[in-house]
Amino acid sequence: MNRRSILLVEDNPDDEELILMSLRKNGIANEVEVVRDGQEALDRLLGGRAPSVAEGDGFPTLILLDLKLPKVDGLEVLKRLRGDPRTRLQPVVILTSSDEERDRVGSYASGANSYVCKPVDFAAFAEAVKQLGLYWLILNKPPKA
Amino acid sequence: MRGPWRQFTDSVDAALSRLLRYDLSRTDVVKWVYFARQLLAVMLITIVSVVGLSAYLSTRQAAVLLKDSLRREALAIAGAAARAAFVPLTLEDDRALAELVDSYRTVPRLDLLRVEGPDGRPRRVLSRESGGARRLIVRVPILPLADGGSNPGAATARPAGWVEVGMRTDRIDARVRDIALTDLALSAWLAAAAFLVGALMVRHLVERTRDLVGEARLAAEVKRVNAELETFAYSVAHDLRAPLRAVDGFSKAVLDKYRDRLDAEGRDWLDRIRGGSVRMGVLIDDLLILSRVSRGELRREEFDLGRLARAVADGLRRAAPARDAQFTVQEGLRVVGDPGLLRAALENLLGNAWKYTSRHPCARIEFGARREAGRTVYFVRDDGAGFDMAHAGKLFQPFSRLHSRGEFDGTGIGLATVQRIVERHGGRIWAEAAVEKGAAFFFTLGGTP
Repeated sequence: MNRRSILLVEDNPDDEELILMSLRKNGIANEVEVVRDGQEALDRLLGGRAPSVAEGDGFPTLILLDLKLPKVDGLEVLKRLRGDPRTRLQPVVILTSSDEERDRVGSYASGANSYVCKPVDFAAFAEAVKQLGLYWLILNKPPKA
Repeated sequence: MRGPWRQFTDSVDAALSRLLRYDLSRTDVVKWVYFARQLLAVMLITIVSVVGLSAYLSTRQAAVLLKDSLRREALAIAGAAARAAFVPLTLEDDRALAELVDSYRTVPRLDLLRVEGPDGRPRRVLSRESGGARRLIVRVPILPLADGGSNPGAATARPAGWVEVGMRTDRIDARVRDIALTDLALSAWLAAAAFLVGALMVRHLVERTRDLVGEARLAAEVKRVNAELETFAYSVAHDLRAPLRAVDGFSKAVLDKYRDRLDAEGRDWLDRIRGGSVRMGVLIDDLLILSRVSRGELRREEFDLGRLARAVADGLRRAAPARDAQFTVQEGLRVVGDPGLLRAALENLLGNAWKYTSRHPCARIEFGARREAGRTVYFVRDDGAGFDMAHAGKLFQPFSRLHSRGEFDGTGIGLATVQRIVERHGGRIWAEAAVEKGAAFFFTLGGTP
């Protein structure tokens, strides 16, 4: 995985397509890798059953993480990432349908860098994805260059 | 008996729970409270028993003291009689002896005076003796004085005669007996009363504990159901919105990509699909708010409701600065309640006022409070579209609306939410309105939740 890339952790194929569509439409052509459950995300990032990116060409610039995921939920994934020295500082943005306070508080408490609620309105959703891409991939300076 | 007693103990329970801030919905608390009350009942019975016993013992003591003083009195009289009999007279002086007897006739309780010679034969007997009466008899010797009476201390050994006095003791006994009986009766009464109170307390205790443990169990059940409901609402939040996003997103994608190949009707239909999904999204959001308002802890903080209303009004005005609307907000209204929930309530009420005045060229919206029958009534008043009071009954029902979506948009959940919030604060909400003459919503916030 090359620099300035995104790892999208999303189990809903519709949301996945909408996110990818929004990114493409806004010219954010960076490489996006998609994993479809929490376990896959952990394997991909920290190693385990699948080859991890740690031994490859580095971590993604941004992880977009859904909360409600099969096998291992998003909050657990986040905690495990924060518990590992290699991904302790990795930018993670929660991108979820939930607007519940306990999810927001729980995410920040577990070390999320940002929390974005997916709007139902696609125009607003596309705008949110665009802003996220622009901010985290272009404007934001990651901890390790 | 049960009604007033139960009322009394319930009010005691309520007062105690307020005073000590204990939570009667918790089984362990219930058990502790009733253990303490049982202890109190036992202490009450003990106190009454101790009082009764000491009353009885003091009566016994009084009887002993009375008899003792009676004995001393008899002894004194007999001694005085013996000296009197000897000193001025001789036993042979019948006239003087008769005078002596007469002088002792007046002593109360004395009903026997007997003067005997040295040979033991009675010389004078005064007797008011009646058969069967209990009597205390004291017999003292008449001691002749060596110096002829000038020094009563110097007596010869041989008595010159005897004086015997008798005193009735039955009246004394009766008095003592009366006191004892009164004391005993009192103790018995007290003991009986204490026993009754104790028994009633224990019975109430058993019943109340059973009830309260039942209630606590019910509260736990409600908590469980609430938790389930929360899980349900959480799933709704997550899972119901995702398909809507797909409906809206892909409709938009088709509109964008294939716009040229669609005719006006096709585009209109896709727009309607999109509108429907967005509206359903709003509905889901509103339902979630309604369910969130019903669940969860009610915080109790003191704050200024007027300032909150001012903040909400400012927010509304910022959203549409071009509108000619005048907000009048009374500040300095201290309330105790949940600031988050009351903000949601005011957002709904002021938002409604804002919405239903939007078709008038200018709007006047007022928030304030007034005293009415000893309580504070808060109100939000506008001069907007109003409604027909004939339909006021439907106002607070979820999903029921008094305006079509064409007139004013909305989900019909807002006022149901407001009502839920007000009721959770122990208050009430009602409305007054007339078509095209504006609407006023009134609500109270109860003193206790």
